[in-house]
Formats: sequence, C-alpha cells, structure tokens
Amino acid sequence: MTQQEGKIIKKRRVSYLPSIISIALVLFMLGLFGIILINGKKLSDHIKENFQLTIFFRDDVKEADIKRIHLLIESSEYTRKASYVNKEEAAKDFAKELGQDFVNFLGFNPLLNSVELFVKSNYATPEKIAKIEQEIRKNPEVTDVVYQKTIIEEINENVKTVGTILIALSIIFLLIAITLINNTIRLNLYARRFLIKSMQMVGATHSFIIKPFVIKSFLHGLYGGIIACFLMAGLLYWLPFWVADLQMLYDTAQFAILFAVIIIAGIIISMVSSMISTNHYLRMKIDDLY
Amino acid sequence: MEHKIVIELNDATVFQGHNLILSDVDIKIAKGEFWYLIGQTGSGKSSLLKTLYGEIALEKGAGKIADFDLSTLKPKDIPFLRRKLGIVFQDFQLLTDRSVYENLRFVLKATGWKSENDIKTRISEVLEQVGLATKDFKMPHELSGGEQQRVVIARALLNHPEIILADEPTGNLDPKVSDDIMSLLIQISKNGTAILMATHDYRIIQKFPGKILKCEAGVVHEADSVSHF
Repeated sequence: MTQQEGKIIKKRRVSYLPSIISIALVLFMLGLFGIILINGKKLSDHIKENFQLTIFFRDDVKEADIKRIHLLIESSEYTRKASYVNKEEAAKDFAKELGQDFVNFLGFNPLLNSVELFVKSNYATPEKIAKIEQEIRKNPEVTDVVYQKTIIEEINENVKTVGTILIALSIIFLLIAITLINNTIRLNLYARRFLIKSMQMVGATHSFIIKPFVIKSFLHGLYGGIIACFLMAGLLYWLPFWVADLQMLYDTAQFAILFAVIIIAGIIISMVSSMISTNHYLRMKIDDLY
Repeated sequence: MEHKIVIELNDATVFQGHNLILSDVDIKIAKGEFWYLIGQTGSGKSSLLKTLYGEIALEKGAGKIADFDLSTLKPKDIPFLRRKLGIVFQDFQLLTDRSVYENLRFVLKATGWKSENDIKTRISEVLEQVGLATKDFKMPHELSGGEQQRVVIARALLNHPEIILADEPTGNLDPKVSDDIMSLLIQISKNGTAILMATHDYRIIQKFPGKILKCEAGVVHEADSVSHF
C-alpha cells in the first residue's frame, strides 16, 4: 500500500466516526432507560417484599401449637420470610422503644405471641393479601392479623401508574432511537446517493450494491452498541458511589441481557435502515436525485 | 460481409415521465461505427441514450441493443444489459470515495470477475489503453477533468463492450483535452466498438467526422453534415 492510499483509508474511517458516535449515544440513552426499567421493577419488588403482616395468637395457645402454625406459614408458597416473636421478646423490644419497663409497671405482659410475615412480591396485592389473611384467620389459635391495608393499596396503585408510564416512555424512547439511527444512516447514504447510481450504471446488481452498505451498517451498529455498553458499564460502576444502597439492586445477569439487547438492537436498526435507504436510492431515477 | 447491427430502434417513442420527447425513432447502428447524436439542449439526446441503457423504459415501438429487447426489458435485466455497454457521462460518475484502481476493480467484481490476478491484468490493460498506466492509486478528485474522463472510458472498456454510449463526454473539458478524448474514442471504434456520442460541440464534429443523428422537433433523423445544425 502506498503512503497516499494509507492516508485516504484513514480519512475515510474518520468520516464514519460521527455516525458511530450518534448510534452509540442513542443506544446509551435506550440502555439508560433499560437500567431504569430493570431497577424500577426491583425497587417495587423490594418495597413489596418489605410489607409486613403480623399474626397474633391467643394468649392461651401453647408454644408448640404456635410453632406448628409458624412452620405451616413458613412453608406456604406466598411466604418470603416468617419469623416467630414470643411475647417476652416483643415486650423487651417494646420496652426499649418506650424507654420504660411497662411489664413491671403493669404487673403483667399485655403483649401477645406473634409471627411476622413478609410475602413474596407477586403476592403483595390487596386481593391476595386479603386471601392470605382469611386463610390464616381460619386457625382458631389466631386472634388477629394486622397490616396496613391502605399502604398495600397505595403501593400497588403507584407501581401500576409508574409501570404504565414506564411502558409508554419505553415505546417513545424506542421510537426515538429508531428514528435517530435511521436518520443518521439515511444521511450517510444520502451523501452517497450518486455513488449508488454510478454503481448501477456500470452493471452492478442491487444485491451487489447493497451488500457492502449493509455490512458497514452492521459494523456501525455493533461498534455503536459496544460503545454504549461501555458507557453504561461505567455509569453502573460509578453510580453506587453517589447513590447509597443502589448496589443491592444490581443484578449482573439482567444487565448482561440488557447489554446484549442494546447491541442487537443497534445492529438490527442500522442494518434495516441501510437496507431500506439503499433500496430507496436504487429505485430512484437519476434525475430525482438532484 | 455486413457488420452486425448492435443498436436498432424501430418506430420507437421516448418518454421522460409522462412527457413525449421523441417519436417515430428509427436507428440502426452497426459494430465499429461512430455516430454523433446532435441537437439542442432539451431536444431529447440524453433521454434517447437513457432509453438505450435502460434508465427510461421503452413504452412504445421496438428496440434492440446488444441482443437485449428494450420493449420487454425487466428491471432485473438492466444490470446485465449495462455490462454489455460502456457508458460515458459528462459528469464522469466515478466512485469518488475510492482510488482509480478500486473504481475499476468494483466494476470487474460487480460483473463476476473472481481472480485478483485477472482483475489486476485487465485494469493495467485498460489504463494503458487510455494512457493512465501510472495513475491507478490516485483518487478521482486528484485527477484533472481529462484524466477523469479517461478513467471513465477505461471503465467502459473493462468488459469489452460492443457499444459505448457517451453523453457529452467532452462537455466539461477544454478543446485540447477534448481532442485527446475524441482521438481515444475514434481509436476504440476502429477496434470494433460501436459508439453513439451525444454532443453539441460543432468543432469536434468538423474535426472528427462521423455519421450524424439529429434530434429536432420531437423526431430523430440522419443528417449529412454539421451545416444542418
């Protein structure tokens, strides 16, 4: 290769860089939204799984019976965690909170033995909770099941609203991504429209002309996707330094899937765009190109 | 023995979009002949050439070029028709993003050449023929207008065409360079390639005489000399 050739090739590569960067930034935006989507789901699960029901037992029930019911609840499919709190422990905790030894003051312990139940996130809806409550209440040993009904309703209401907004936004973001990438590629091909026509004039078939453009946009989509993934990985690495407790929401497997989806989306969008645009210019008459 | 007819139009009508440009066109061009296509700007010279290379469909009348029937030509046949033609344009239409060598290599690759050795040999041959043997590494914009037109002619010659269609090939060139290009085209036609060249350059026609077709008032007829211009 002569020196001049080397220079020319270098120049040509540089001219594609802006479009690769545009693709990368759009994909990064899409990826950020993906991260929000994944973490939003995890956040709502996290809130739902920390919703607590307290099951109180009659004072005359033997500890063995309580333990039997505890075990029964613990092994139910809706249970994430269930822990038995006997009334002495509860009194100690309560006294600590109160700052006063109320058992001594009263002369007896007014608290009841209880089981604290946390349900799995998919059971944390008002209807399912009500059903679980009913089922537990069937045990004659249980005197009461207490939880904050309004909170579980509110959580579900908010999750539903936020979920709808997120789905709407994700459709909008995807459309924005497709439009921007498509425009980038179309501009690239618009600049080469006379080239495409010239190729037709010398007897090249459509498929022969399209192939290199599609291969190029495959690579651009791939490079753009990889750059976007690096940006996302950087962000995910640095974010926990600024926002505490974020790390616990991280799920490497889900992020890996997100990265793969972003790269594949970049490749597919840019390949399809370049196929459509090249075909468009191939079918145009030469006079319409000016 | 009479030479083989390579371009033939009978009672052909040329449209540009919905506009009738030329009607009752009868042309017969044999192998190795050199024809000028003259007429004022807008008289239909380019449209007639476009009909011949398949850019405009022949909707009425009969036409045959390089064994392709123009009236039944399908879009997918057009690339194969163009492989039998060499087309030379006023504005060159080189692939501006690659070197002269790559421009020529693209055509050979597109027309089914596989061996890089054969490709290299053929490119050297045609560049030699147009006098540009040492410029294969240049980008089109690094060449003068005359040199670019030589590359276009070299490109047209790659697949040994029976016909070269030239649409004002000297339109952007100065007289000296135009003469060089004309000498080259005449030489090519002497080697057996039919050439149909649109032009409105009287000087050239006087200096390099050939047969003349004239587009005028919606018809094409044979003219004896430039005096009929």
